[in-house]
Amino acid sequence: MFVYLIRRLFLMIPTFFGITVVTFVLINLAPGSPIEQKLQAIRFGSGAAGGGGGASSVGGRGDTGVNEEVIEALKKQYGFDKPLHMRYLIWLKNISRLDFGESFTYQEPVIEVIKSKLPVSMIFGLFTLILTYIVCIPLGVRKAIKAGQSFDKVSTLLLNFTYAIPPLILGIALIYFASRSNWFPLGGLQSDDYESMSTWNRFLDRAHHMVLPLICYTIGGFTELSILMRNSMLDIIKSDFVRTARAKGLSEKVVVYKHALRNALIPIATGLGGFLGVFLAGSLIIEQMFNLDGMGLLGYQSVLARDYNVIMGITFISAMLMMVGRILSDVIYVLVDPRIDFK
Amino acid sequence: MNMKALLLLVLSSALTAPAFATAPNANAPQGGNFVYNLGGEPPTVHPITSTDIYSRYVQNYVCEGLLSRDSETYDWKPRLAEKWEVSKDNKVFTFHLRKNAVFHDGKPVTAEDVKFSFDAIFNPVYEAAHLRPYYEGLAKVEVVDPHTVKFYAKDSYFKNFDSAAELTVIPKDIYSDVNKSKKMNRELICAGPYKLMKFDRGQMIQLKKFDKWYGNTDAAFKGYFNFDTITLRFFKDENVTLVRAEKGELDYIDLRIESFMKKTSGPAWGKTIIKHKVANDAPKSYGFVGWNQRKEIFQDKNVRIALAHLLNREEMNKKFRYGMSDLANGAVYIKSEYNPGNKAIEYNPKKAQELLSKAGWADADKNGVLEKTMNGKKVEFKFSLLYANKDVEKYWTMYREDLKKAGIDMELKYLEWNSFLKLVDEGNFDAVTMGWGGGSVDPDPKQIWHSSNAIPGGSNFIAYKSPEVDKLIDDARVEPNKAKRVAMLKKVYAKIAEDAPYAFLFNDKYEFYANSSRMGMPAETFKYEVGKDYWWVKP
Repeated sequence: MFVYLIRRLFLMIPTFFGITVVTFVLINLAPGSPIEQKLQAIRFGSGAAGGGGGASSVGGRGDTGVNEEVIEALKKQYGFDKPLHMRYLIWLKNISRLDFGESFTYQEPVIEVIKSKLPVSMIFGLFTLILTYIVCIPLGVRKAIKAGQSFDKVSTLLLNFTYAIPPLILGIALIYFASRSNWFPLGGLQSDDYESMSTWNRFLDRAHHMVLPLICYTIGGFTELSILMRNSMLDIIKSDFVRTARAKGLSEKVVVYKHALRNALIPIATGLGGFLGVFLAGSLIIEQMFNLDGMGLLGYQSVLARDYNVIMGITFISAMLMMVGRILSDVIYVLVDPRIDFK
Repeated sequence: MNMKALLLLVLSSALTAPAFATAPNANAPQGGNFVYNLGGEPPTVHPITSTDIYSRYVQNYVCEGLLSRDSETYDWKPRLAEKWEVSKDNKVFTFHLRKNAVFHDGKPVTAEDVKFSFDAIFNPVYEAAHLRPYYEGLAKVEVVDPHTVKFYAKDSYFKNFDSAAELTVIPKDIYSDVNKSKKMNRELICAGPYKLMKFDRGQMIQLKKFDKWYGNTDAAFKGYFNFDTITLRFFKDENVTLVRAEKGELDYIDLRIESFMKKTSGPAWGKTIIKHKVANDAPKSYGFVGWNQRKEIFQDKNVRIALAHLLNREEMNKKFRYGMSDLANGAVYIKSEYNPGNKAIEYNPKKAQELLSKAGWADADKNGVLEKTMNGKKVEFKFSLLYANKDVEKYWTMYREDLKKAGIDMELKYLEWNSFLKLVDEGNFDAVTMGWGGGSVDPDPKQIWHSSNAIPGGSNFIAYKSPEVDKLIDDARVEPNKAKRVAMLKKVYAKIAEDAPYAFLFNDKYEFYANSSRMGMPAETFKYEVGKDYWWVKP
């Protein structure tokens, strides 16, 4: 196992280079660099960037607008006066010191920008994960026990239905509901007078704001895990050792919850390694609708604005989390299933 | 509605009908909080490095220049400068600053600050290369005494004065320390009527009336900036914004035609939230299809006019715009005094057919597509239309069908904005559709129409070249007399409309917006803008 882990850790190095080089080259090949974004702002006015189709002439000189000198100055300002491979090497050197560079859009270190958006995504990511597991495991087990009966059928129907609802439609429906009922705030993460509240009220205020977006985040995710849990449980219940346990005269409760459940959880537990992904979880649609300022929106806007350093920063962090998550999954696998041994 | 109510409505609207000229209400109640949706969050509000439109909205409240435009007359009005003079050759502008103007940190606004604000743009350490093109016509700023500055222009271009007058004045004390200033992305220190109090990422920006603003005690600013605080929200989704406005969470929202007509009929509308359709003279944008004149098929004027005749704008206006747009008649806003009044090209397939035959296009092989022999080669009339906005696809689907009937094969080609611009910049397209903003009340057509801008990255990307237009533009730009300039530019716009380098689409007739019933306003709109700065909270 130890050797396996070391090997996996070493394998991370080429994977890391693969991901970052490809991303770096791709974003640099795509039309529209940060400099071109600035030039567009000069030419079309600042509303144009990412605006699709519209443009407006500026009130400037009405000349060609931009001379070579300005373009050179912009290149220098953003470090684009060097060739592509040099810029990648510089990025690599900086990243080794955990310096992610500066965001072109925010004029702030990338790490500060990510740090300011991370809490929103993390809170929702974490709650979504916890909620999904809390709901899906018991639901899946019950579905397996009642397999083929009306509970199983109705719940499957419901799950398929919720799975099929696009978050956009659900979000609009929820917001409409909230505006009619006045039960929930329409978005944001906290009330305007949040700062003047007591700790307990702050907690309640946050929770109150989180209900609707959390429904949007979780509802589609229930289906997959519940069905997985159900099928895994069904497989186990049909297996020989469960039959043996029953034959021994053990109560149904002990058979199901002690013998079968533990084994049925194995495929579910291995997915846990991916939980690291919650740090960068975020949905553009949900964030936009509920006015949340998280990673989903940041990622999308960075791509539109060709904010290279932010894109690379997010790529780097998510690649690391993904790779570590995979290794963790393997470790969990070994821990929960003694039969497995990676050699 | 019964007769009495109807009569009352007619009477009350007659009473509140705007007078000939709208004036601020000098007795407007002071105070209250105005909640307004910015539509997006400014990544930074730094006066030098910010480039987005949202930061500009914030800066309009917080920062100030030397002069500003009057919303009703468009004349220059004193702001930080109380008086100004322009030299006879139109190259030297002298501004006399108010003695009682102070920045938000309490320090007085001096000529040194004005000079610094200008010099910083050209000093590489402040990273303001993107601002330089706007000020290139100005050579230098000279401090005469603590309250007098002189701007020297390089040439007598008529907009040089505008650049000087609108220069945002920032405190040298604070922004000259580059390292400190670089970190001030969520702070803004200027000399405007509002102070930036709070910038919560993802939440809001809050502004508070600056108690030492010189205008508070100046009779000229009575009825202007009446709110005590302004809260700027960042809602991006239109549906959400509408729901929030209905709930009374927003005091002002912009509306699109569709939302004005379709989405604003719930119980709150007309009671707690009131929508407006106003017509004013602020220049409105126009859309267009541009024919790349590097391509041989579009070089014939008859062909371009024929293509415009095949564009059924009347039907599109009726179907997609509720009949609420004007058909643009050229490259300048239809109500502008610069508009020469050319007749808009109407939908007329018959005329188009005649023009196409005149240009030598015919369907001899009866395959449904016109052809012509060019340079000894048979060419079929086929081209692709490049666009970057999915919303307008319906217009082009309609156009494609009408073209097909006339024997022209148009392919629709959608591209993401940056990829789209790349092809446009390279001149690597047949036809392109997009829109130009309304621009200035006093327009300068050089950027879009002068042949010197038919270069990679230039705005004359369709390569329209007319020596006559070039000459007139060059002369008009250095003509200080407005009446003469109007006459010259009218000729320019007349010639452009005649040459039909674009098929011009629509000019908006109205602006649509809604406000909460808490708001009081002197009129629904001023001549050159809606004029939210003159609103107040009803007591």
